[in-house]
Amino acid sequence: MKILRLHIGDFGIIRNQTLAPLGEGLVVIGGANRAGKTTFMQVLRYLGYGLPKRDDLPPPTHEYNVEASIGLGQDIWELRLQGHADPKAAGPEGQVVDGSVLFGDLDMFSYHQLFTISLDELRLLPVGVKPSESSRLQSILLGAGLSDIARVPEIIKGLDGKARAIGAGYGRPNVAQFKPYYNTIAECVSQKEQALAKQGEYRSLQEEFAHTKTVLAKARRKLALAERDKILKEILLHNYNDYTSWMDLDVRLSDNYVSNILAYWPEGLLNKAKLLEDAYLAALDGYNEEFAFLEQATVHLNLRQQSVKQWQTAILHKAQDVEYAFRRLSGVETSIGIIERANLEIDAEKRRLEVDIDDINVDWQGDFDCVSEAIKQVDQENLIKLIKDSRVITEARNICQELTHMASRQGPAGLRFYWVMAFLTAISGLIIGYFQPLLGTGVMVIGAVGLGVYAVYTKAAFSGNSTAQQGLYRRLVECNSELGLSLGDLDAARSLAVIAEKEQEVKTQLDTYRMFLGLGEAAELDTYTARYEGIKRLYERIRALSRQQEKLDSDLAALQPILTDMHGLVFDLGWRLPSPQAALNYFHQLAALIEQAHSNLKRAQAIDQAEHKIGDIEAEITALVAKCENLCSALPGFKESNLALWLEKAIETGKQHQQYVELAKQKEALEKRILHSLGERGLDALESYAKGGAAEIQPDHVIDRLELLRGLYGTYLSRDDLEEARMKTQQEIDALVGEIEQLTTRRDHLARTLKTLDTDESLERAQYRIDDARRSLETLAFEYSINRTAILMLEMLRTEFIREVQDDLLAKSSEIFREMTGGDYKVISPPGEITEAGFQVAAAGECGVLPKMLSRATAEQLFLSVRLGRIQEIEPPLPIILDDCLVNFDPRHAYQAVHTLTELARRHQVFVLTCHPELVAMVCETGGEDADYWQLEEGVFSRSDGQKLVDYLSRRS
Amino acid sequence: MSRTVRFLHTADIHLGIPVQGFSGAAKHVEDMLREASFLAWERICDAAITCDVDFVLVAGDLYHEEARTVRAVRFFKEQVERLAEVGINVYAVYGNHDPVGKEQSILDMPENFYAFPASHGECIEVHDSSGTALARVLGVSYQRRWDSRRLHSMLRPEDGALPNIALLHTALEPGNSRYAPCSVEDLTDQEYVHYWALGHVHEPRVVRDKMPVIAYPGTPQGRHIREGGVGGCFLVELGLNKTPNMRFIPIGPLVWQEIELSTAEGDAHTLIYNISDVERLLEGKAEAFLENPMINTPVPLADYDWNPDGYLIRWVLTGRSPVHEHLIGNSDDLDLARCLDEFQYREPFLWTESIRIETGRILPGWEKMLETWPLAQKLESIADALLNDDSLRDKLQESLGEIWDLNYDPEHPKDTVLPGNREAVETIIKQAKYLVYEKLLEGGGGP
Repeated sequence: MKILRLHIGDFGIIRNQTLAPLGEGLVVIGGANRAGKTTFMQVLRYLGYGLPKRDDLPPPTHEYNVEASIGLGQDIWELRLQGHADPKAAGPEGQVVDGSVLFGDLDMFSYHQLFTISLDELRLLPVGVKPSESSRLQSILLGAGLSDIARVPEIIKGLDGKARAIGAGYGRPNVAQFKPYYNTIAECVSQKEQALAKQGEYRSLQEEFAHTKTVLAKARRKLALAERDKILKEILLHNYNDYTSWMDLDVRLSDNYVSNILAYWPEGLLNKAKLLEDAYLAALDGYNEEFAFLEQATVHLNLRQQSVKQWQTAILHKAQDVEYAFRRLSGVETSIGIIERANLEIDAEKRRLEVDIDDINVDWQGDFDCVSEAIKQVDQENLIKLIKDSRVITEARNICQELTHMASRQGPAGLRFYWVMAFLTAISGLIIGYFQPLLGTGVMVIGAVGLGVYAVYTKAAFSGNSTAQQGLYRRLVECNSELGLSLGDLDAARSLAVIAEKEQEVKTQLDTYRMFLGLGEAAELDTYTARYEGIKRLYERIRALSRQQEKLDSDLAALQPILTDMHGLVFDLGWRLPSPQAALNYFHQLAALIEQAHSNLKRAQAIDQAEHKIGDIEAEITALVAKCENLCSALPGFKESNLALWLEKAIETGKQHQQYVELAKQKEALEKRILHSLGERGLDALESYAKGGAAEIQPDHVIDRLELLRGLYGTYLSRDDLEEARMKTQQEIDALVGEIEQLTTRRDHLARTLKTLDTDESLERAQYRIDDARRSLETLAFEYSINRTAILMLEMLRTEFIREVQDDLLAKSSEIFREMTGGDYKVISPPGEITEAGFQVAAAGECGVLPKMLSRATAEQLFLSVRLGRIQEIEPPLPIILDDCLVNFDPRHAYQAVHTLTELARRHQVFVLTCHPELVAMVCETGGEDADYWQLEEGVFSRSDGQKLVDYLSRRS
Repeated sequence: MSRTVRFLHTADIHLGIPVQGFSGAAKHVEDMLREASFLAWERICDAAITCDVDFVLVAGDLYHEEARTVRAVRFFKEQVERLAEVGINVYAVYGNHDPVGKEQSILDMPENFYAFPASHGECIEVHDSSGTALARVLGVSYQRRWDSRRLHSMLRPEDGALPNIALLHTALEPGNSRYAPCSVEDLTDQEYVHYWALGHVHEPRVVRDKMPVIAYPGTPQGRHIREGGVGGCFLVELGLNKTPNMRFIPIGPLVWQEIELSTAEGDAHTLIYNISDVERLLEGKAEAFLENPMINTPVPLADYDWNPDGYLIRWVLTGRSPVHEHLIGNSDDLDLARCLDEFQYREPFLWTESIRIETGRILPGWEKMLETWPLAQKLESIADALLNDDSLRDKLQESLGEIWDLNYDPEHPKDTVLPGNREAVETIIKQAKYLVYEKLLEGGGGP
């Protein structure tokens, strides 16, 4: 980019100045001091960027106004700077852009610092540059990004601080913030490894666990046994005195005789023996007494060489007969009494019958047969019929007679007779009834009937005649009918004849009967039936008497065998009586003998019972003896054959038994006391001891605790010996307790370990903790490593940048500087720490030195070299403005600098503003023929040439 | 001619190691993290029973540690016993995590479990219930943590009359002398092998889908974010002269997922200004994720009912936005994660593993800077050099600090240092680059 034309309308002291055409290489503008050189530099400095509103700029007369024609490649742009507005450039095609575009968009600060160089810029910190802008300057001088690179140490410091806080210098897992997680992980890894190792030992641990349990169980059993022994020994000590007493009793009771008694003595033998003895003696006494009585009772009997005993046997043999006879005795006696009374009654009745027969008919002389004959011959019904017929006949005859009388007026004389007869018959019946009620009643009835007939008849007879005749006739018919006569229309007379015939017939029969009835001829009809009734009653009485007699005879016949038996019985028993047929007569004697026999039978039975009782008692005793067989065998002298003596011996031994039982009770009381003192603990211990190590004891196994205690006591000689043994047991217990504690601890530990192994819990827990710790660690590690890697990147970036600056950016500067210094210095390099603007330079083979260690001129050469070197890296090549910046250079170095500028002008448009003719001369000398020379005097430019300008400036200086 | 044999191919179960657990999770989430590997093995056995397979193959790393845990062994045994009830055998080789050399016989295994020895390759002929030979299973276990033997060469079937299935735990890297070195060609060249059931690589991968098939089922349950995606196993139907039928059965109860969220998205109205905005952003994204979780699998899925119990999410907040200053101040990302707490009670749950802050201040775009600012260009080239220039590896290691292990062995990482894998280094360098950038610009620098 080149400024081909420049018109400064209004800028400080320069007004309406046009520089055209301007050289595209070296443009030398010479002017004295205050001629406007610096103002011109300001114009160029702000030409593309606009003028800032600052006091240090030369003020315009009216308004800043600068125009320039800019050659950019083949194009020419017209740039205009007006006031403080942004400069605008119009392109060849009319396009308008910002002025800075023509400057390659290089920022104003960079352009200022690089391309507009005065002595103010050739310092470490140029005038007008704030300290805060130093790094910017540095980046300008050393390339883009330098400011960033300059901050790298600061950034690294910050990042390093963070990283170090997390993982110290090397990010080892066991440091700083990593450490707790590392420790956790290491711990858990260790736990996991241990747990895994244990997993492998699982089977052996299981075996050890089982073995430990077995050993523990054994130890516990031993401890239990030892504690049991201790308890037993304490019990033995506690009961020592009781045991001694118990032992004495035991010795005493253990005697063979005593033990046999105690062992074999049947329960209740003493009492039973006593009872049996009493019963036995009583039975014997009773027997003897009864026998004596019986003997006495049989003294008067004809025993026919029989002993009393035999007679007793005989009577006992007849016991049933005697008992039977004795039981019937009263009955027989009663029967006999009845028979005797019946005999008397029969006799009396006979006599009364005879009298009564005599009363009826003396002729019969009291002969019962007459009565019987009468009854036999007289048919009562026929008799009654005959009597009736007779009366009907009488009535019929009377009717006939009445009828006849009526016809002939015959009176009723017959009626009166009839009435009298009837009346007498009734009276006779009444009288007979007194003696013979039945007969009497019959007679009375006949009489009453007769009277009735009479009454009826008389009543009828006195009723009207015709009526009476008709009535009589009808009655006569009825009477004939009753008589079985069929008279028809017979008149009364013929009827009367028939009736008389009938009457005769009836009378004949009645006479027969009368004869048998013992009646007189005059006997009235009514007496016939009465007599018959009387005879009949006698007949009945005779028959009853006969039956009574027959019964009496029968009773006597029945009684006779009994009496015969009784007689036989007493005969067989030795009593003598008359013939048995007469036994009725001496029945009372017989009865007395039977009663005596009965009494003797009771005696005999009593004797028999006594014998049986004695036998029973003896059997009981014998049974008792048999029951006491063991006792009898065990006890010498107890085998007594005499039962009474045996009983006596038994009773005696029984009393001894009672004593021994008492002793045994004492012993038992001691036993109880000893056993009671055992308590539950002691009993368990003793039971355990009884098991003798057997795992189980049979349920029906009875433990003889005292026997066990005896055995235990027998183990020790004395109480002291026992005490010593107890102490030893205690020591054993203490040792076992310790052993068990150890085994229990080991077992529990193994159980826990196995459980842990079984569930993987420890592994899981460890793994979880590892995972968690690693997760936290990972977050930290990422943070650490990101910071660290960022540091590494920054370092690499800085190194790369420095290398680039040195190799690329500062290579040209170094070359320029080397040239400017005539080779005194070889290399320009960035400072070691790019923390501020600055460089270091190094001579050949020397270390780098900082600008402050250089002379002013060398330092200005350095800064100029850097700028010129840096300028060459920037595209497009922009105009360079140098405002008397070589003044401090010695001629040699100035010459070198001019030479450099000349070289630089091949690429850039270089404006050299100076008031020093020497510098213009150097330009001319170093190829200034191509340079464009302008003279500036008080703001006015005029074209010149090199020599003129030298002269002019020489003059002005 | 044998019938088609059906089997499950699984590997790298790492039984007994909990999914990386983090404090602050709800109890059921913690339980699930702890139990996930067990649940995975149980579900594999469920799948074996449901799919009525002939046998199950475990291609190494059945357990996580050389010394098996009692619980892991017991659980494994219980499940194998379950398979025994339905007549399914289990054939396994041990890998670098559970080599035979360190095996402890904690428990005796049931008879339907067969573990191949480490001393030599073995061949087991598998029969069906009628005694007909179905296939041959070949295998060899690791002797120790690192096994440089060419194990594949020990697996040589006698002929091709039966489907031959070789179990091998390998990185399939010829130059890797630690994990049974071999190449794909080594395996394809092995005569008569029809299916290489591989283990070691935790990501499901079908290296070769033709005979001989070479496949990694991956781990059924990823343990950390680097083992993202769905874990599972292969259901394989293999027959001679037939195209193998492989289906992937999703198994893993938990699915790891990294989700990047830019805080710089949106216009002036939707720009993220404060923590509340970030929380809304996270919640919205979580909701959207649960509605449509995108799951990719390397092979077609088997017709098998599966739903994950939960998702373990790492959120990465990126972008330059006004909220960066707040996020930096909020150093404890769990505080921010608290807004997502309620998602752990969803079904399936969503648990925030962590929220990584990779946001930046609002600065001129880096890409633009690269064009205009030489320092940015230099910084970019430095970052690139640090990542790729091996000559700078020492410097990088020094900067990263000893906390990072650049020679990190992903199979056996050290607990006390962090895996300096490329991903971590990239992240650090990237973040460091932006940090430098920020710092330089903070001082008013720039183009």
